[in-house]
Amino acid sequence: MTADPASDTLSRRDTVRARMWHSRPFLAGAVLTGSIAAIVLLGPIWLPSTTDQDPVALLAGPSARHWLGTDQLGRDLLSRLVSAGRTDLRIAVVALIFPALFGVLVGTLAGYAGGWFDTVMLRLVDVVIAFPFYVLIIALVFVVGPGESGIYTALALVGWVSYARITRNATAITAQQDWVVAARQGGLRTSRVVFRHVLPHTATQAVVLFASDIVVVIVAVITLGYLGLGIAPPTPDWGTMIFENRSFITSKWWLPAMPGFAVVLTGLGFSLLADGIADIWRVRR
Amino acid sequence: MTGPVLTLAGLTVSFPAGRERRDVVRSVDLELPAATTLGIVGESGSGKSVTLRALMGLLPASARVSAGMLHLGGAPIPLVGRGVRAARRRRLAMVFQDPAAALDPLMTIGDQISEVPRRAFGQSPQSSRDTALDLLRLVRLPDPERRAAAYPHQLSGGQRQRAVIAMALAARPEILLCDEPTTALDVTTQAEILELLRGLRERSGLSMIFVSHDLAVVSSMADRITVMRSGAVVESGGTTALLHAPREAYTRTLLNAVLELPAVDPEPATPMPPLVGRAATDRLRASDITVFYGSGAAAVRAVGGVDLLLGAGRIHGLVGESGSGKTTLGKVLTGQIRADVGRVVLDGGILPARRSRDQLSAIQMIYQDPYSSLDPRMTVRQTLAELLRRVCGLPRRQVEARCVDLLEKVTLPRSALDGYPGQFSGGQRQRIAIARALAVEPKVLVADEPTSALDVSIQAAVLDLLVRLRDDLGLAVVLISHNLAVIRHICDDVSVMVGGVIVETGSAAQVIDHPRVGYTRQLIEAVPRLRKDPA
Amino acid sequence: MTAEPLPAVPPLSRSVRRGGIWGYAGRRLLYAVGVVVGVVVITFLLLHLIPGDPAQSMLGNRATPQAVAALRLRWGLDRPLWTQFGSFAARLITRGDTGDSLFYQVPSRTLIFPRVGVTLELVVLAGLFAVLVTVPLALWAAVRRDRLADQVIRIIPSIGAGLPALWVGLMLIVVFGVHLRWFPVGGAGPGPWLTFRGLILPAFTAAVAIVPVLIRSLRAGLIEVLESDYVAAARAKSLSEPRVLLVHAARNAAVPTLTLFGLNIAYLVGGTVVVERVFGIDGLGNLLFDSISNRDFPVVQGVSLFFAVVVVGVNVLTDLAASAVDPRLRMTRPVVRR
Repeated sequence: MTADPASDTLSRRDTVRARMWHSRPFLAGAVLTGSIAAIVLLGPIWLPSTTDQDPVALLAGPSARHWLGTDQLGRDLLSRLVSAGRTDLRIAVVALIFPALFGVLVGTLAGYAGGWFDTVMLRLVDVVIAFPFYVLIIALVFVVGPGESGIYTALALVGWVSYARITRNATAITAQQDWVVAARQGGLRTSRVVFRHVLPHTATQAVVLFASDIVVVIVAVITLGYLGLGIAPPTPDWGTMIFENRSFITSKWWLPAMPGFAVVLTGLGFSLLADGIADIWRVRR
Repeated sequence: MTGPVLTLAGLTVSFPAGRERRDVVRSVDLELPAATTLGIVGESGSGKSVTLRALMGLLPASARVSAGMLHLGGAPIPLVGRGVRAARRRRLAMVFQDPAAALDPLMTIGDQISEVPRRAFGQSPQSSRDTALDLLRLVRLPDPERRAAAYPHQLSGGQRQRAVIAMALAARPEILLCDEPTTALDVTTQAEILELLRGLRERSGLSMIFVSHDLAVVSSMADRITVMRSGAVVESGGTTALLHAPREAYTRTLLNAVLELPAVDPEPATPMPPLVGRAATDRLRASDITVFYGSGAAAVRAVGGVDLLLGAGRIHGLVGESGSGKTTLGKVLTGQIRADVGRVVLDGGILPARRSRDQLSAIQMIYQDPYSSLDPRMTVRQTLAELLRRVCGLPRRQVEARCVDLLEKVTLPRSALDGYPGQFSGGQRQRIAIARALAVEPKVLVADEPTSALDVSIQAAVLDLLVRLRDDLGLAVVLISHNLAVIRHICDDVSVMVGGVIVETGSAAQVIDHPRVGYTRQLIEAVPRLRKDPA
Repeated sequence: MTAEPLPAVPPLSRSVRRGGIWGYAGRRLLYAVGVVVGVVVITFLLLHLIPGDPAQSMLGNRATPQAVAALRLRWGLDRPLWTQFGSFAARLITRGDTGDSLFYQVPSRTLIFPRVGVTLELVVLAGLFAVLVTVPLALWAAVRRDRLADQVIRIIPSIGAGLPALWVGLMLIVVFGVHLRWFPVGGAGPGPWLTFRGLILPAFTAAVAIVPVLIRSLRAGLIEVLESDYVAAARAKSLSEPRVLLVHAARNAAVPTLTLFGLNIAYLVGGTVVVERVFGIDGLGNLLFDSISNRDFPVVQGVSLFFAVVVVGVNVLTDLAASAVDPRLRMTRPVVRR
């Protein structure tokens, strides 16, 4: 009764394409993340350098020369925002992609094979998620050393967990589906069954998680930057920018506010994208 | 007889379909005379459930009633909007299809029933509890005091449906709306619930609207029958008249699709020689199969010491109610489950606990749910070609021809190759699933309830296909089913399972027409039959 | 009422007897103990993630070789890993801490326990705010599904996901502390009332971190429940709409949300670490940062361990609460062999 009767008459490709155009979150998210990616990648071509100091315009307000004004060293705020976005986005994607792939792999194995491997993995996941995210990340960055490589290591040790868990559960359910049983009974090799008949169905959840996780990681990278455990100055990063400019909050409010808005806008883009992909693939979030 | 207690005129309900809306129910008229039962019969998509929900005022928010007038006892009653439920108080109540879903899982049975007198009719807590217990006794729930304190998940399906009926009666209705109330139940439980509903009707003068896809069930309940198809009424009439002289072709199709069971021989048959040793062309022999679920003290025996012999070119029916172990046995035969005891022998060779890929593909399975048995992300061509290339090792240029050949075997056109499962109907999907099973050239086919998710008019085609495959390809087929009529219709041999053991085995005609075991007889007698003679 | 003989009563299913809440509580606690053991192991292993010589790394390059050697001896770095773990665990069990602070030269316990109170207050208050914000909004959105209110509320999770706590805190301080002067800026003041007033902004900031997830889940859960047959059945048996919504719908939707709240409590607790830093509250979070700048490893270990144990404890409580509401959760599912 609640099933959409029209969807039965469309092929899968058509439905996915049709849902893409009908999903407002997906369209909004795609446009937003697309524009942010374009600005961050292409912006530096015509924007002033992030390190050029304009001696006549220290802490200047918005002007034709500096659209968003300058900081206390006379550096162009917009340039620094864009450059920081480039750094933070790159770090977030790189820091997440390998743990995500690892998590999907481990989760698939655990969910499909079950047995002791599954039990051990689930216990390990439970132990890791017992640590509050920020406590563990901060402790790990402290232990392995601050900076970009510290962020990568810390997030690698923590980040795989949610992918492993979500993929493990999805795999355990999908592996019971008749089409998977039928593929196995048909005499196909286990690897073929897993990669052709299970993974395409479980990976959608991981992709949705990835899109929303990017936001979490960006916020984490920024928080570490703010706390002095992340990207070291003078490389611009939204977190360090907020920290450096926090004392101007009452006089030049846009200095600390703008990097925050940039984070929120990026977060909104990826969240909408995640919502949209979930809509299109009918994945529950 | 006085005037009708319920009249519905010109009901039209639409649901959103993509950007447009689609009429799911179109200009439906119904009339229910006092103290009678109206049966509504239809296949999936006929709009029968939506009509019932509209009567009850339970349409989802996305539904829109664009036309229709409802009168209860002559007074107009709104179909949507404010006051829709207040107008139905003490007049309408509903029994749902799935009793497990219709009961709040977090509340005891007793509380769910007693909250009606307590909250809706303002009785004291004590008298509400008494009312609930009375109702549970009325629906003949065994041990009502203890069951009232139980949660829904602690009851069996039949007990749950009794509780749902008690809950509906608690609302003190004049008219009881029953939406497929026995579809989710076993055949013997179904007979009990139908008997209960008949008894309630006689005792209390309740009027009833009884919706079902099963013409035999409806004919056993209803005074008048309305046949629906694609949201519209096909024809209406008195039960006897409609069954004897249907006016519309569609009603005749439905009638013809009903597989009839012959009357049970009142005398038990003389003991038959055992089936073992008779078949010269043994294909599959399972002996002493025993399966436990769980371990230690909590272990439950699902199958206990079952022997089964399967001849080539024969269809062997495995019949039993839910929990009888028939599906577990099927999974043992196909190698999905390892038996704790016993062995399976295929063509004289013992199949090991861990079967090789060749051994797996020699015994193929047809699954119950055609909507989940095909990978939704693969076209039919991809599904078939994958097996042909990787399992049968067919050269690439022969794959196409073989795919077409397989589709021909299941009477599907070549154009189906490029479709995704989502584009096909349930019956077509089931045939694609059979083609996939045939792709690896199996020797044995295990079909687990292959038609129970299908509409009756499609059932016959799939069953005929199984018969043809037996004859043309000499396949040995195990047909697992709860439906005795289906079994009787196409099986050569039958085994009856209960509680994990086979209680009776023999030829289909012998076992079903002349059952020797009491349980088999009980099972066969519980099957609802078309009531063509006036009650 | 009826004269018919009743059929014989089969025993209630095994699950009825097995589904006692105490049995479940026992099993759940036992599992939690296992997780805590794992947590202790991970905390211990943190030391060995330090690249190079941990002792040298903690004391820095200016430390004398004697001091480094003394620390190596104290931590037992020359001994095999399992003996090191043995003494770590022994000290943890007997003394309740993770070793002496390198900076203050006192047991780490004496630094941690005095700060527990204010952090717990912050966590509880934040959790309370999160529930107070989530429940009405989610209910409103679910009941008015696809209407304007729902459309607006549905955007909240998307915006909220990208809100860094440190930035939210900063903005709240400016608006409510500096401009409106509703709340003190410098963290908790003396006395219970000032403490409470001082904690409102920080707690709200911490709540912002988990409200998005909770709204999304509770709304989805409510919608699923509202479309269920048992809610239809509750309506069909002529109960009033408030009773249908509050007794049948809300209780059923609360179970998954409770579980989800338990899972997100870790995120909430982690968020308070950052919030304490931003608002200058002298709780465990600040201790964590001070210890990091002092390179005081045993205290970092102690704080991490304490937080993890709190999270495990809260998870046990939410699971028990969920199982008290939902009897099905008390059963252990039989294992089906494949």
